[in-house]
Amino acid sequence: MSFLAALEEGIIIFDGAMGTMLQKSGLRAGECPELLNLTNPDLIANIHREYIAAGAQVVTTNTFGGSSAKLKTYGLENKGYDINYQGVTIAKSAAAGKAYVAASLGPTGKLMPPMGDMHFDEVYKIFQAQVLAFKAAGADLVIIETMVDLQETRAALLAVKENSPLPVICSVTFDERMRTLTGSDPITVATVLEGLGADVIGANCSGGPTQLLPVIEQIAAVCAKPIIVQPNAGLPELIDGETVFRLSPDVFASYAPPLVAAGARCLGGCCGTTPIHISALRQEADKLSPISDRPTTVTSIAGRTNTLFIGTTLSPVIVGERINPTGRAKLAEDIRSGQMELVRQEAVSQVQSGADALDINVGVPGINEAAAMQQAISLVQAQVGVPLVIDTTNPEALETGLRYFCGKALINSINAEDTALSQLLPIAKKYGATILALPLDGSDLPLKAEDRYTLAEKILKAAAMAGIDKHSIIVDGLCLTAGAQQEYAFESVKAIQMFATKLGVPAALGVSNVSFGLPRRDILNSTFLAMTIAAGLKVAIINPHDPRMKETFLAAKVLMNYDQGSKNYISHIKADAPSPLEEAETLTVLQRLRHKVVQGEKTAAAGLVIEAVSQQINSLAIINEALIPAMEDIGTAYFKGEAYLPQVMMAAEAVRAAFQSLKKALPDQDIPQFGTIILATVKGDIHDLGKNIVGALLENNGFKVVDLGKDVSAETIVAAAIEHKADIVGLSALMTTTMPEMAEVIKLMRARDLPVKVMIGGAVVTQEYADLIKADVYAKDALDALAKAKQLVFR
Amino acid sequence: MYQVLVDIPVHIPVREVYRYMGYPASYQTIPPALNSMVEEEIAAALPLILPKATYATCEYDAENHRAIILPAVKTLPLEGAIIQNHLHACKKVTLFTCTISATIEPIIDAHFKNGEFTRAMILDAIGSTAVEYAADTLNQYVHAAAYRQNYRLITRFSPGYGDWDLSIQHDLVEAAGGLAIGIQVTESELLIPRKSVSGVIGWIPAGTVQEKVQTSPCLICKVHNCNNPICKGGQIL
Repeated sequence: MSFLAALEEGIIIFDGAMGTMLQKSGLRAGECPELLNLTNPDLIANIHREYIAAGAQVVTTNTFGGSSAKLKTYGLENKGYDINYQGVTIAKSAAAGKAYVAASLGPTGKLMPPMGDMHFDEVYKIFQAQVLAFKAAGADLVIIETMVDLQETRAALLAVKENSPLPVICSVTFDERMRTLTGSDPITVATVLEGLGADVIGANCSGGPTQLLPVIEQIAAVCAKPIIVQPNAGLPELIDGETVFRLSPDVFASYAPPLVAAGARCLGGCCGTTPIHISALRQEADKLSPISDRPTTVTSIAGRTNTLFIGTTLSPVIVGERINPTGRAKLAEDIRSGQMELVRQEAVSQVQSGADALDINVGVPGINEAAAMQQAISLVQAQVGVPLVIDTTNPEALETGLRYFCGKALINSINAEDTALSQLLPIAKKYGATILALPLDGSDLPLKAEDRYTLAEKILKAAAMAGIDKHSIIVDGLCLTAGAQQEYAFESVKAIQMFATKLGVPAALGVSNVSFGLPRRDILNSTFLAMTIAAGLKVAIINPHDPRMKETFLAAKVLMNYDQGSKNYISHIKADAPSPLEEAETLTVLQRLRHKVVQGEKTAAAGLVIEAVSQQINSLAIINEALIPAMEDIGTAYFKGEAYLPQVMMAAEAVRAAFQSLKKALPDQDIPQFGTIILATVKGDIHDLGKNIVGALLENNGFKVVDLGKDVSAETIVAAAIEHKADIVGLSALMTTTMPEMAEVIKLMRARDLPVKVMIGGAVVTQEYADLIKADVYAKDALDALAKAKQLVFR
Repeated sequence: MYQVLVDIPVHIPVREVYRYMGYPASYQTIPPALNSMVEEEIAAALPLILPKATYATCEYDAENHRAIILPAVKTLPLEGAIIQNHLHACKKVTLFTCTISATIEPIIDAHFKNGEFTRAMILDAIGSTAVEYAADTLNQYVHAAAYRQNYRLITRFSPGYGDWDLSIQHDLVEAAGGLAIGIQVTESELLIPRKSVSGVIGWIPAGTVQEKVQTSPCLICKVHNCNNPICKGGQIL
């Protein structure tokens, strides 16, 4: 039975870690694990046999680091073919027909733009060489695993699919924020890889089963392919310079039921797992059946970092139309010259203006369109993570665009002409792109909605013949110009309705065509946009900089109940900086103050305090209803990964400006303080950046901070604690050599019997060290210090 | 005998500045106000950053884990299993120091005092980026020299990493010539100016199987919660 057929039958158990087993067998750091395929094949074969005996149905070859890029670091790049071929041969002989052999492809360790400088084609070639060896040696399947970058995974997947008939698994690694190293989320990863033809999709490494469960849930929500999960044996811990994974086999296996319930069908182990883990997993999995209730496909497009779902019942989206040289001489010249600076600017500014996806058209006469497309795609995707729409009918430019785009593109467009269908549909199928079907066939313009419907049907049928189902199709409503053919302008609205209700596919429209030749095009465009959205338009191809279009779009989403609670409308209309008069009418002064603090606008914050005071608002209300909630807002954003430390500091500066303004305006009112904290970087240490950041945060969150500076002796710290009746003493140290001074401070404080809490932190300081020296609290970063200081004083 | 390099170009890769400030590699949008502050601080810092480096290349006795320093024929023992393992295939080592001078330090401190916390943080990150870039540049100089002699370099390593004790700083800085560019070592083994680094770069003969044996710095680093996007507190991806 083939691997894919076996997969249909039920849960499949994969093996556990190879590296962990090799280390146990004496592999030293710095030695090439894959070289053992040539120098000690028995060792590798025995590991495979142990896993099979433990119940693994699939063994993974010892070729994870078998790429020439990795082997080069050991001077072994010339042995690549032998190492990879032999890796499969060893696994096959060990499996002896009792297990499938999955040939392992791991990351090259090199990154592509925007993070690195490796070219996609180079990476592809590296993987291609491995795949050819796998195929020749007779692997049953290929597993692309522990990938940290979606684009590299795409290169590997294409290398497998273009060079072998083997089934292929793509397994990706996510960090604690559920993103890959280069920022892709599980939904995007699954969407892109499913489109590109992976047979099994999932995640491995990334921490233990607890960390991977939500990842698998997200993948399962959008992906109809079988799912694989191979967690580590818990989170890695660094003990005596060695990485240790502590999850016991029983505990590890106990995660099988929730993982299977979440949708996983292939289970195995990654770092730290051994045959004992796999045996426990096997026993647990034998009690389980895979779930059959998996999602049907949805229409989607994706960029490197996010995915857009498009459906007849979903909210409409905006495709920015500005990267199109038609009628824009400067942009045409920018593309022709190869500079593409305007292309870059348009990409960034359209996304800032609210575009959910970007149309890329580089059709300048007389240039190599494929090369220009590749350049534009690479440039744009390095700047923005949104899905791209490849706007060309040139097959070569289309294929180039799809190949180098790190995402699942929308093809704009494929019309109903037979040549277009036969040339372009196979390309769309190969890259798993979504298609914008254009109801035109080269004969007369389909003026009536019914004619457009007939042509749309033709495209859908041809697509189905090419293996593309209707979930990968969006139909263009075809926008005619009201200035020239006024009687047919409304036919687009009718067509959009028919596509949604009769064909069950969402519609797109280049809305601004309607107004050519008429004055105040923005009025006609925005009105037409509202009409078409009401009729069911889901992809509005518009100029997102046009304020009328943007407002109409936001308002239409409210009126059609897509924007729940009008949240999006409110936040955008607010963020668009209304005039101060309008703002004053809609928001209270404290709401505006809170907003400005979060934005880090200190001058505005100081001014709003004066305004609040002039409205007889007292300092307590200003602090409790605006300043403290604002700092909580930015803190929450930080913990969610939506803001970073510099933004927190900007907010702290705004609060500082607000406090100064408040003291000036109401010098007699007391500003309440939570408590007093002494801060010092301990004796011998001169690195005080972290301590200063903590001080800035505490001071602007209601603490009285006495900052003693750096290189401060224990005696000085204790004296200051007594003098200022401190509630907390906060100590920082950067280096291992200066860390012990913290213990001295604590010793001295305890000897004097001071009722003061001690909080410590610094780059090399840990909770364990805090426990060891009997500090009351360890803070891992500045915001943690703030939260813990509050806990200490409110306890 | 050590060499002094004073013509190191100044370069501040903006992405690195954001990385030192805690932005992950995948960040998309920076608030415009922050962006302009970063640009302003870089422009202000550029004339103040004076990268300098010194280095001394000497024979390495791998068996006894010591660098042999000429012309005085002194030895510098390198203590610690991790550093010794890291250098085990090396025939030579380059001892180095590198600094951008202390000119930006008072400005960072003044920014903090004036409540310009964000600018202080940005300038500190610029300093870290600049000294790292200077060390990278030095690395390239040494790489070229090594290449001509048919050697290859392995990752540079600094005291404080893994089990390489900071107590070597005085001897290392002296041997590498750091005093000539104004680097001092405090009693607690820290370098002044703050934005300075010292360390060792190992040379291995080209073509050995061990070429580019990389002890991953992230696996042995003691820093928790570091900003390196590839480092997850000791877990290298």
